[in-house]
Amino acid sequence: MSLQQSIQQAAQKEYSPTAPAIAPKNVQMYKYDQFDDEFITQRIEQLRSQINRRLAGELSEDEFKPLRLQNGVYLQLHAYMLRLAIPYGQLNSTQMRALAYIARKYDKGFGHFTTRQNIQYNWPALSDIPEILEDLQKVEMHAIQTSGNCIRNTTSDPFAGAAADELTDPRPWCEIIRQWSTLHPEFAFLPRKFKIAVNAAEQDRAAILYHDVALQIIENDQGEMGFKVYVGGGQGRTPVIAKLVREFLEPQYLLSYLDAILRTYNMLGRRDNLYKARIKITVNETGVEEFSRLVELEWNRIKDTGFNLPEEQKQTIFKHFELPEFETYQYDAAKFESKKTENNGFDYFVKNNTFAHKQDGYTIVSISLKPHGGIPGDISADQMDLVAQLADDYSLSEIRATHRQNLVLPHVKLDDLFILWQKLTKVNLAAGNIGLLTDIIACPGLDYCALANARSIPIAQMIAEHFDDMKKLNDLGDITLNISGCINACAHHHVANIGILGVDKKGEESYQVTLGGSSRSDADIGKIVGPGFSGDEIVGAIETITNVYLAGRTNSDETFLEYYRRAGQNPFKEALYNVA
Amino acid sequence: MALAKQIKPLKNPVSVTANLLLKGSTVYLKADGTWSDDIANSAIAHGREQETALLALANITEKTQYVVGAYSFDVKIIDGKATPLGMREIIRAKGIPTITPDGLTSKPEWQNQFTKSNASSQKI
Repeated sequence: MSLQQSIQQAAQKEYSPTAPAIAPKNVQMYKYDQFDDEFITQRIEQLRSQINRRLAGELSEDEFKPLRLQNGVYLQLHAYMLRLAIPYGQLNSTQMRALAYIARKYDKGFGHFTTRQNIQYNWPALSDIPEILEDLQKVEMHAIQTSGNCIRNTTSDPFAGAAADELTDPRPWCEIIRQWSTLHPEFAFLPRKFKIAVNAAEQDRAAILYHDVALQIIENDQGEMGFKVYVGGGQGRTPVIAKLVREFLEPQYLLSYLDAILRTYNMLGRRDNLYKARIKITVNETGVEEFSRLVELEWNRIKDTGFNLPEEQKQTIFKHFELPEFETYQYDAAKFESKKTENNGFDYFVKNNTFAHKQDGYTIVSISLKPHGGIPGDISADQMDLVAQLADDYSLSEIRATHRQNLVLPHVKLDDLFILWQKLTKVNLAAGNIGLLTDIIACPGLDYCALANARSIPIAQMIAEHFDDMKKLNDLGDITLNISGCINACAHHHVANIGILGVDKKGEESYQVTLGGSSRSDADIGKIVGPGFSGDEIVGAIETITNVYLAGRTNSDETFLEYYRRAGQNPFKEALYNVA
Repeated sequence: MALAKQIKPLKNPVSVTANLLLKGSTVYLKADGTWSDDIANSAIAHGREQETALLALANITEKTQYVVGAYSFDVKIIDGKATPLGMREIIRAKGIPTITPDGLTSKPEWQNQFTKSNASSQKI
């Protein structure tokens, strides 16, 4: 069955109460032009040729590896892994159906959403990858620069373009950065990978301060929009919060300023030591003042003569992101409230999984990919198809992937929320646990990853199973818990309120706990609480930690992080290790 | 002579594993230089010289583009067959993760086991 047939079939499943939309017409997102299409075709042919040459022995693995990596192809424990780019986390329903199709045809019927708003398939054959990329091209997706020492997928607020609290929509700026950075000849072989994140809301929902470059869109005293620029954030074995290098950057200079940062890093970044090659180390070794001075020096040299985005091209890109046509209606508040009263599950869903929309009568809905018994970030092909259909029916065909490994339907009418929740319930996607303890970020860990030292997924499942009571979870309130299977920190354990790091301790899996991290605007790096725990002990340790919080908080309004910041580590140490 | 003294003896017997170049799946080197997806068929080296010989044999097939990334790893011998030591190789030998999502058909019987005895004594 072809991709188009598959999409058509999926769109016509019986649960559709409205006319199926095979090709969404009104989604506010960047659409490929002829240049994009030809460019992707060339890229696929390049990779096909590289694979053929590798299989024919004309390329060694050492020569082939950097080439496959720049197309998102890794070799993991059991198979190849293909990481696809979801630019700033935005998908339309057709793309989601194509992801389901790929999961069924080339993989084992599921995919895994990552902490960089991308999706990974864990089982493709090397020889199938060009065909997968051709199928992706049909829905305007690709895997370019999802790995390798280049500029990776730009990430952003998953509520962008919908959130009531945003200053402006950051997506057009992300798209501008995407186009500028894709196969940028000067930055194709950087000392190490390079990640950029953009946020335009007061609350940081994209963990921007842990990126190589963080762009916070702000308004100056004159009411002009610009960027606050931070550099040198990151996680991995050396977690660092990005440092401010420019209070206000006029938007017309965004690209030349990024050029200056990248160029400075490219010159100074260490290529002699893999572990010291990220820009966070460069900034630390150079000193932020000196690094900023060098950036400014380079920028002043190129800002008027180098590349800045022509206004006409900027306007063309911005047009793709104009607000959709929202319906003006009076939603039935009384009916809505009565549904909440009648259904505990719906009540929790509304409380935890919705966020204020900029349009009256609409809400932003988060779909938790951490259901009971689930694997964080994993979604089956059938669930993908259903989400696509629900996006068509209730969210103007739009979907977002979040860095917390969940999905978002950004434009849902409040009047539709109850029926949407009911439909999600049928496919185990209605867990009302967004922002709660069981909304766990977990990397694939030792179950899949060649770099991991310990398993993450079983730990996440055991914790989720232990904290299954929604009443208790809601009482615990706003807590982040992230689990990484190695120090590379793909699951952002450093910046969780409760972080778990899997390590290899004399051949056994052991789990080190950090407390007090935050990936939001009040960014902080968690601190190790003490010796690690075995896989059998870790759930008990988390139970102890939450009990310390519940017993010590001043009232239920004091969050876990607020309590930790007030009380420090001692109460936790005492309870975990019986030390006075 | 001085150099030879610096090479430490093996702590455990070792076998050699790699991934198939085309599919990426895990395979083990047999004594005849071919590869098997079953670790029980793998050749076992008891000393450094044997390990070097096995890796050299693996290297020959790496050059034919059949496998990629060959390396040796610790095993223990049960009933004359190699079984993996350490969770990483236990998981690789199974060929699927310890927790199986929807879509993976077979389910390992040992999921969620974490105790030391379980982790180190799984019979594959």
